[in-house]
Amino acid sequence: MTVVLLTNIGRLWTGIELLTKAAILMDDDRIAWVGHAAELPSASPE
Amino acid sequence: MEDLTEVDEVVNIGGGLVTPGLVDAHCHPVYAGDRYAEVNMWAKGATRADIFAAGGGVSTTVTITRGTDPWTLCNAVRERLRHWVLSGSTTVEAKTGYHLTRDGELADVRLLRSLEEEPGMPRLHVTFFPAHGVPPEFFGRPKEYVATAASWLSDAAMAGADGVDVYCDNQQFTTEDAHMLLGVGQSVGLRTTLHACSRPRHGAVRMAAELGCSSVDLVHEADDEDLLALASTRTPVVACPTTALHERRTPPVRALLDHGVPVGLGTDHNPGQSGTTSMPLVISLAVSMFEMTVQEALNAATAGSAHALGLNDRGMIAPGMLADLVQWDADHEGAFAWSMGLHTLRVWQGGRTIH
Repeated sequence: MTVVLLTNIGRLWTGIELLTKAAILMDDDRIAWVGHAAELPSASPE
Repeated sequence: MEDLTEVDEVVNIGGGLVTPGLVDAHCHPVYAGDRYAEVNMWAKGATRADIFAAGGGVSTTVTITRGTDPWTLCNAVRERLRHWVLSGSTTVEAKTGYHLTRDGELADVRLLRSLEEEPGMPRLHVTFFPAHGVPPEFFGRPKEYVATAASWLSDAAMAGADGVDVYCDNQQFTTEDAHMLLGVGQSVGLRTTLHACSRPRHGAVRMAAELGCSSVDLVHEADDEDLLALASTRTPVVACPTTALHERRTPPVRALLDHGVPVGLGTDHNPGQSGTTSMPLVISLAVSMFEMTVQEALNAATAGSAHALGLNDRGMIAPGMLADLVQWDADHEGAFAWSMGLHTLRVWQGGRTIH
């Protein structure tokens, strides 16, 4: 299992909405979390 | 995961643009040879009938592909599929359709399923397409060929095909042929697509909508009745702007969107009309030709295409979805409209960097 964090995304088109200053957490082959980078620590998945 | 200390790798995107991996919902990558001379005839104003009279068209590629050894064909398809990844497509719908024999078409399905397992390849949605044209040995006996091809569909499903497609226009298969083949396809568990090409048979689009086809593709000459049928059944349409350019006909994509029809996009890469494997180019063209906003075109090239293929685990970035992503050489999505082929910086498939 590999966990990869993409940070400092200037613009992120999720397919649902457009986010700025975003981050994505990938847990193995799936998206684990997506949102504003500032919200990441408190929103990290279990 | 308890907290961020369990992160194995941190990637700083540097303020750039990230989207879901693009999904090409319509292409023909399994062929050998080229038809450049024929394309040159098109450019000089030749008609489809002129091309056929000169011995060109799909049958030319069928002859070359049948005469190409499997390893050479495999290497060519592998190299071709890699181009999709380099330009940001992480899923590609790939049709057979240039062997037009039972064994050749089934071998194409197995070839695609095998290539998909190799590193650096896109995920594939494999479409069995013996109804791409009438092969030479059945010339003059199209009904007999349709019945024969229908008998191959259960084997195609067993070999790993995801769907079946039927090419329906005034010079290929009739609406009745398509109804029969697509119905058999549904009965063996295949997703079904109608290839409503340049001059679709009257009523074919409505037939496909009423039959519950997974998608109706191209629809260059869809009329108001077709539009209403697609809208009332919520049947997805896959539009291909490079083919529209080639055919000099524009499908009513704006009206389809305004009526709530789900729209996906495809390159329609094939040896006779469109050589592009670039979905970023397709997005650019969709904005300029189909009156789509950049976000609509991006949505069509990701979630829209995935929906048309029944792949509901991709095309969006949300928890639980496949981690198929692209970092682009831009900091704003408007660059798709400007660039006519925006470049990728990095492509992830299932969380792994593949470009």
